[in-house]
Amino acid sequence: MARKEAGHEEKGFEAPGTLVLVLVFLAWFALAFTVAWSSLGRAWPVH
Amino acid sequence: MATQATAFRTCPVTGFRVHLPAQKLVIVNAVAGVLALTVGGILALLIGLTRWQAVHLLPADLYYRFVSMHGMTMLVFWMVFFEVAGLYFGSTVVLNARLVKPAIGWLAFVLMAVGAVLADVVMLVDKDSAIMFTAYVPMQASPLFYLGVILFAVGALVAVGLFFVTIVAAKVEGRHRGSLPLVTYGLVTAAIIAVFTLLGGAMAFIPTFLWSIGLMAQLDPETYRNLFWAFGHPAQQVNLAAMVAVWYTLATLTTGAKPLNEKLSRFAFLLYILFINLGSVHHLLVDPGLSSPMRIFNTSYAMYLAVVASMVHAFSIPSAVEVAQRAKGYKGLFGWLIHAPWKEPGFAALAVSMVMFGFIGGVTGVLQGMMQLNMLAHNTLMIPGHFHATVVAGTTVAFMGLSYYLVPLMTQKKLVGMAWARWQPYIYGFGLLLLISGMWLSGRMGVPRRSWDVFNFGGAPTFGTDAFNAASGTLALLGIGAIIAVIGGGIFVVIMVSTLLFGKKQQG
Repeated sequence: MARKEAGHEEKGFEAPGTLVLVLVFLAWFALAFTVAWSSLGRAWPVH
Repeated sequence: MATQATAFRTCPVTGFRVHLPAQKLVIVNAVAGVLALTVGGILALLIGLTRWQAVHLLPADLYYRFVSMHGMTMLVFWMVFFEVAGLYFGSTVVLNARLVKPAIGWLAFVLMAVGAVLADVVMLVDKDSAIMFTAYVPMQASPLFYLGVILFAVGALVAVGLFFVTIVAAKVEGRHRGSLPLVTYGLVTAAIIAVFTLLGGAMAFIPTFLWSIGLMAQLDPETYRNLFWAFGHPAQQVNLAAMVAVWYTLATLTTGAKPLNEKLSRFAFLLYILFINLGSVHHLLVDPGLSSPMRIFNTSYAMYLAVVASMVHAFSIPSAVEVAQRAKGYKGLFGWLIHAPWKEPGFAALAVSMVMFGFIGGVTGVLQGMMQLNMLAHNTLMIPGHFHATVVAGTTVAFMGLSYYLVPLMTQKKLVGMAWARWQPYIYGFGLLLLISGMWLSGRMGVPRRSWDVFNFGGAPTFGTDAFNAASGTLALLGIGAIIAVIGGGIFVVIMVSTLLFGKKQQG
């Protein structure tokens, strides 16, 4: 439970913009992972 | 003999007390680094214009010599010279301390300089010594090449030892109290990894030197590869740790940012020390002497603990910038980012370095480091695509950004060409983005790394003709990117040299 005392004012999450950037990074990672797997799989197919 | 008081000066802008003998060593090491960067950059242009198959500039023998020189000059000489400058700065100026034995620092510098020049000259004049950065046995270079590398490594090890002794002395003499500042802590991390790295280098190159002069009858290639990769990839982890320390510095210098949780940032540095070198095993995935569990564990689970550390830094630094910017009154989800000091060269370098290192270098490193994808991607141009994103777009850009503050502070001269400095990180970063994209996309099609001629393979019958014609566009992208990146790098060198030679003298 959040405390409100002198000198301990509740601020909430301080860096929401950075959190969005982190989620963009996560999406980019998933995309890069998929593209790498699929394109390398085509370049070196298993017969 | 200079007294303690006269051996220091106080910078009127930053308030730093600068130990004058340390200042000289910071300057000579930084200058040597920029010189190495210049040589490596010229070679990069020539190599890029050769890999661009439509241009195909160099003949085969020169190409392989230049690739060998470029690798060693950029990955080792430029980086380590600059890092040694950073170590002396971080252990003296940041701690308000003296460099314990400047004469030892000069000895280290001479060893490193002689070693670097020797190795580069041998690779340039002796075609048999064009054996690439990896110098895999049983290829054998001139003994002078190995000697040059050993001298450089010994010099670097001496410099790292001096750094540790200086930090201990600063504590004993009461120059600073409490924990080390985060930047120095990060440099300690880099220095610890450097000790492991340089000892690995010694274990790889000293027997190779003895073998090259005939004192050892033979050298086992697998043993060499094991030992070499205790040096080859860890050397880049030294760069990584130093780069992250520079990121924190640039964030503080340009926005006043302070990490939200400094203990967590320190813990992340500790994770680097413990786990980051294990990823090196991905170079040995097809070596028969290592067990599969060992390979899989090291290239997956253990490596990810170091990746977690990078994630901590990647969150910690932007969030610190965000909080610092919000404290200035910027509102909205991205108001802090829109109003960031984009025209400040240090912030520009920080942004370019972090985005390109994280989004390209880090992501491709994780993908290509894991066993399954590594087996497909290794020895294709995807690999140089990865490490140009980490070492060049990441570390080199960060070091360039720091130089815009370090050089004026150390030389007491006003930066020449500030208007160019504002644009330089963007120009360099854009060129690298094209270069890296060209490499990654070509490699994705199976184009091999290092090869001089991927269209005809020098007429080798096995491959027929036009083996990788489909990659002509992406290889052109690589070449165009190299040209733009070299222009960006050239601007940096001109700014640094002009500041050193013609910069207006400042007080303090």
